[in-house]
Amino acid sequence: MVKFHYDPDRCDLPYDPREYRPTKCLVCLDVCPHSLLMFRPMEEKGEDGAPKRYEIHMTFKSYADKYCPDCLKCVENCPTQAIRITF
Amino acid sequence: MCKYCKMHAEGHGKWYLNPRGYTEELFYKLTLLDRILGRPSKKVRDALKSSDSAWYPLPISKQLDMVDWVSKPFIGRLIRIIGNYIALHSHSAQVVPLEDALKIVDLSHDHALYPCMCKRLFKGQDEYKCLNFAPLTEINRRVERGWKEKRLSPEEAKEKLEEFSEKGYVHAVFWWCEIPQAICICNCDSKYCYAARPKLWYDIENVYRKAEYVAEVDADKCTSCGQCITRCQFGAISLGEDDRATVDPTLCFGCGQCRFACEQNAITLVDRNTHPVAKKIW
Repeated sequence: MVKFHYDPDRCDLPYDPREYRPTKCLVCLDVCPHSLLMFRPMEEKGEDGAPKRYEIHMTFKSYADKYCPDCLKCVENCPTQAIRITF
Repeated sequence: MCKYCKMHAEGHGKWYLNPRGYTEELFYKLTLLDRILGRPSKKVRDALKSSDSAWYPLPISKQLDMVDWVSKPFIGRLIRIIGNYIALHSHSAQVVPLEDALKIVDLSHDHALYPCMCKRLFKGQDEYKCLNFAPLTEINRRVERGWKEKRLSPEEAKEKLEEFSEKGYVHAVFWWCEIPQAICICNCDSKYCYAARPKLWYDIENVYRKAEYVAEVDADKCTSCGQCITRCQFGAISLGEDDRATVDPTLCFGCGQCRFACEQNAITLVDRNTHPVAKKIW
């Protein structure tokens, strides 16, 4: 079973309040050859009801079990070492 | 003709060519419970939720985590049946070839392009390729944190669809809460599409239904150039024993993109119902 660990304090996705999405980095999404990673808002709300922070989330876990052991590009390419994958 | 076309086409051949699906009457129709509680219709409530571009990734990620339960032993089958039911009563798609997509533009009004949500979430890039039309565009404008739009005239919308077709994107018309209420034409790349992947990987039929057509190759015209193989997003075309392209009817989605790659015009679309193998696979 592949487990995806994401450290939001290390990553700190630069976030554009006008766009309602992280606008920089996202290297992990770009390098994932099967597009298993996505960003999503963390559940805490800001003053205007908009999300305060974003996190990286792994979907399609059963496919991650197949593909991740041979790849790990997200771990290699993350500039702040915010992603860990354990088996 | 698929079972939903038989039920909802009302004499127009296909459910998405039924003009009733593009009217506001169906969209704003209230049930008895809605009247008692004084709330808008389910379609409007769902549309307001999905128009909030800030929060929408959260329910999507939860849905996709649920989809993954299909691969579990024992309960997987049950989850697939539930998934099919939910897909039918929420927001799912059927693939259409370019000709039918152009007919849909003629039937609808108030066109606008929005960034593809799948590409935004899974690649972190905004590409304006999701063609919405009334009444969804009107709901999108009401939401404060809504998606940014690019309004188009019907002629521009048709030009855009042809442009997407040249890039190899597959057109898919989405229904909203019930068939035949149509709300948008997505131009999908199955690499990051979150409707196509549950279909391809977990075989949930209603999430991304195949088109009413299936591709066939005229072996006499084929020159074995292999252009169609690179164009097909679903891996349905391969070179057969005699070095001619052959379409696997069990994998073909009937999007018709391979026709535009073929310089010899060797590929045609035939009705899925007349095909002996493909007629049972949707």
